[in-house]
Amino acid sequence: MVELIELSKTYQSKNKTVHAVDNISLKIENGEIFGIVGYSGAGKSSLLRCINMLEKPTSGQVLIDGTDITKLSLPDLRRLRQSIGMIFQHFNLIANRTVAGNIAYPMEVAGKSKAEIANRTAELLELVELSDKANVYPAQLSGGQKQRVGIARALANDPKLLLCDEATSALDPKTTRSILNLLKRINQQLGISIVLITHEMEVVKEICHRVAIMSEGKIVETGTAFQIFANPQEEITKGFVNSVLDIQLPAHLLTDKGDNKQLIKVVFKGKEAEEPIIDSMLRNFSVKANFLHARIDYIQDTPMGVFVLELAGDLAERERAIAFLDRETAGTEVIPYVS
Amino acid sequence: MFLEQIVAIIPDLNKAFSETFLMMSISVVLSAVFGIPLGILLFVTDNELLAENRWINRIAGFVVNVIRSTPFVILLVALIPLTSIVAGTIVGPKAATVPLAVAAIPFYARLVESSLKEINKGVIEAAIAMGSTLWHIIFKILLVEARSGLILGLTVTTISLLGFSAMAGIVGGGGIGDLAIRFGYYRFDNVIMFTTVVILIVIVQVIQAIGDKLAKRLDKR
Repeated sequence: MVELIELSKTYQSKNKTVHAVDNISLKIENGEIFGIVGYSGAGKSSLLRCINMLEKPTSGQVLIDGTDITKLSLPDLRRLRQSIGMIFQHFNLIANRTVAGNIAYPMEVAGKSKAEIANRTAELLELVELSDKANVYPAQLSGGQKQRVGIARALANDPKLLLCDEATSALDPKTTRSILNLLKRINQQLGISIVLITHEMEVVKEICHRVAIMSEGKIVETGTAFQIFANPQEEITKGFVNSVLDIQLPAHLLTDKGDNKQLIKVVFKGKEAEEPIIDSMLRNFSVKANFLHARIDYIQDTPMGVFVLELAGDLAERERAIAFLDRETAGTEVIPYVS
Repeated sequence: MFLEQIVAIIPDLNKAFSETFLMMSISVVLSAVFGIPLGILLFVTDNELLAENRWINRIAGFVVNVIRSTPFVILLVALIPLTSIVAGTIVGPKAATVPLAVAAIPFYARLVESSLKEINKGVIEAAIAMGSTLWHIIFKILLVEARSGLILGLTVTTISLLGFSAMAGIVGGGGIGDLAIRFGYYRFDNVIMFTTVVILIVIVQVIQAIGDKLAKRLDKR
């Protein structure tokens, strides 16, 4: 679908050169939801804008279905842009046009007939569940509704590719979820490939099939969403993953409870999260366990769990129990008490 | 006493009013017809997403600044040759519309430019991402999003023109402002001066009220 080859974008200011995109090669497959994650200033926005040439790359190629779009003439580029949808963090709707007028705009640009536009607008309003708001102006809508209009507008000319520029960053968690579900539905039902940039790992967790982690203009790590969550390699990736999975125990639980007790953290990934491993441990070893913390996240339907247990019993028995857990799970570590 | 004096100048007032109306309506229309495109030119040639062109922008900006920095009275006299070509005469209200429009066009163009600069850049970016041509953006985005600013700018321009038109007496343009200066100010006729000034105040109020109302109605932001 989209292939970036040795893509660079450099900004030249008076006394310094900024490599916003630094020699990135990347392939986005047909029908996938691809996430680009990074802190602000990492260059992800520039990277996204190179895909529809809102920013002209300094060097490298952008292939869309095999065509190098960096070499297209302006009219050809305009035609191509009509087939790439884009949605924005701040929605960017035309304030003086109604909802229906906003959705109609890209079709007017594409030279569709009035009847065609009217039909398609009604269809899209239904898809984003805003049929009752057709004649309302954007100022009267909530953030989530505005983004739905943005999505409808982006889909108007039946694109094969949808670019999302921090599409949920300005929305509250509940609205974020509903927008993400809508994007997921669009991806599944219409087969539209989605490239999204975000700094929120929640977004990745919910909908991304594959992810690239970006830092200082470079891609530092790529993988499936589950790989990234379950097995982050780079420090920056671990930081992002921890922003979602990190656990904070209250201080009183961390204070020393004597020789017969200790805290352990157990991580389950994938299938093992569905096995009764803790139960086996309690049956096979004479230890008692008390759950202090437990959570399971689903990364694209694959479970990943983190548990903190307080283990009580003889030292020898505890060590055997921990060895058992370590064997059966993705990782078990002892959390030292703080004195 | 006052009343008699006022009744006595009613014919003069009538004539002055129609002269003002003629000068204003022609020059306001010309300001809009030429000022809006000039304002758009200034805006799009200064915008990297649209039609950035440093030279055209600098030249247009320079011409605008030159006209705007010339005092109107000087412009009035300096433009006499142009007036004679365009209006076919160099006296009377018709002749006065030429320098009025020339002064108002760059003034309004700057106001147009600043209204366009207030448009959310993201909307322009989105329009480009959707494959718009420059014409689509001008007619379907810029003029639509800036429309209430354009109305307010034209209101300000109209009111400034009313002030300029008082000086049109120099070329025999006539009008209410001219009446106020010639009869009221030079002849120390306080009644006429006062009456005409009140009329001018009322006209300004009415123009501003209409402009504000229209701008508000068109603004859906």
